[in-house]
Amino acid sequence: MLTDDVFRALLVEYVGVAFEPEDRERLRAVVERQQARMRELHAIDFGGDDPRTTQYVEDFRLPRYA
Amino acid sequence: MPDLSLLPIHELAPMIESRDVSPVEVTRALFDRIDRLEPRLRSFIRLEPEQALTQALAAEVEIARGGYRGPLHGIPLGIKDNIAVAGWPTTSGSALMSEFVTDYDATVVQRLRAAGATIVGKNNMHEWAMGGSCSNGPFGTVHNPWDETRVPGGSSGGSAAAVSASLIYGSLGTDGMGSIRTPASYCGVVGFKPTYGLVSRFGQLPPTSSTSDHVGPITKDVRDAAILLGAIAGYDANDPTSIQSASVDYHAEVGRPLSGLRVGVPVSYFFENAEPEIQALVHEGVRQLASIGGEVHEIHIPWVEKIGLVSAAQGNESNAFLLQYARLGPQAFADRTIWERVIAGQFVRRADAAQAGRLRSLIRREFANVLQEVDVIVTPTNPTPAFLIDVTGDLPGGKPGGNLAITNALTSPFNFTGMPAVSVPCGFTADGLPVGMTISGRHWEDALVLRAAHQYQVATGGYRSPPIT
Repeated sequence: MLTDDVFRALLVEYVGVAFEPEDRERLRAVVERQQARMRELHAIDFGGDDPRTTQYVEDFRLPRYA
Repeated sequence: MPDLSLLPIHELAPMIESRDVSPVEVTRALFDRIDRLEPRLRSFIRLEPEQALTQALAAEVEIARGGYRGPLHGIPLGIKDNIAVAGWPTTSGSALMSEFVTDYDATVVQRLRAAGATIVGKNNMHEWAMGGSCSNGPFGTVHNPWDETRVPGGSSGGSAAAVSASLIYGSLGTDGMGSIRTPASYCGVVGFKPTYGLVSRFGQLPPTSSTSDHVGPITKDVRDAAILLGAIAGYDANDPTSIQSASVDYHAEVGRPLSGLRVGVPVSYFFENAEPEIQALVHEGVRQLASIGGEVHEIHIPWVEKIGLVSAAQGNESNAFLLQYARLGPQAFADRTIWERVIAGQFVRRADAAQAGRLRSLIRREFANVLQEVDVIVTPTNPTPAFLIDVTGDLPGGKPGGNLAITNALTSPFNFTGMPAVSVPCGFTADGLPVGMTISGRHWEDALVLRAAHQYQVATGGYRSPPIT
């Protein structure tokens, strides 16, 4: 969990503005939900290191139906 | 003489070509209707009746001289207000952009003008194209013509509301997570998101979700969508994501008979996240497709259940443009949640986006595998019908996510895969609200997707006018 002091410092670093305490408090909840989603994303078991599951860049314009 | 404003383009165009009806007469009739209904719908940010009548008169003269250009000649259309029209502001639904004027048309606008269309104005939209309600924006709350207490969906809500209420014959929308198909579904009209790369996005401002955004038509029926797609599709060197593709006569293609169409119906995620009433209407739509020769197959796309994580990790593309405004604070945004999302997006790391890219590739591969066994996939466009203005909800079954999840959960998979997808009306709830069914298919088989949707409409009926007078 982010403390207000830590969150304030991160906002200054990542955004450049600390915002008003009231706005910051609401933002903190949003960012914590976002971080929980990212933890969920990284917890996915894609099936090990098989190269078929490690690709993360694709040209989405091109068909792949062969 | 029928009420001209209620006709679809494909019925009106032959009357214009034969000079039984003049483009000026058509445009005047529409503006009479706009004068009557627009104050209640707020579906436009800008209207230009004088310029529209000038364009209509030019079309009339050209047609009289034997210069008929095709089915869009003399047809009044709208343009979502994040697509540039030379000399007019392109606001993207934000007060911050109210004075932003380009001296050039977006490529799609150029192409509509070349086809002879009359551009009557710019449609209202959700601020920055980053929401699904079109409520409480700086240019007014857009109302759903089927129930004015409800939202039209978004972000292309003004386009869908105006087409549904017959204030225009069609409009161009943009669709980064479902922003064409959701409002089309909520307003009982057709919305088509083409294959990624088929339609130029040059002149779409700003590029808030560039790897998943598309420009496409919102129309009264599928044939009209094919007519608009035919005018705007094709390679554009000004758009780095545009790709060379075969020239297709989409309007001719939709009329070709259909037999042996293999229809895939997902067994998980799409239907289970929709309200029972929506599930029943879309299953009935599948039965209709079967009754006209479709073969129905159950399909499995298990990774799609994680699609929300892709949105969460890749939704910060807008920050390249919007961070400058987010630094001003929440008061710079009419929809505070957009400000919150932009700031939260600064906390997404490169590794998060890469992991989401990995998931996105897997989902795309699952769809590609399934589409070797079936030709099209049928799903509910949205989990719920249009919701009440200023009411925040969650997905059916109490799954959280708010209105954004309600409007995007079932549409965004087709943005992240780049597949063509059309929302076609498939009936009404007990409360009289329209429901949309999505038909999607293989990349670059836009014509087949539209043909399936058109044959469905031939079997079940086309455009229905809402009870707004």
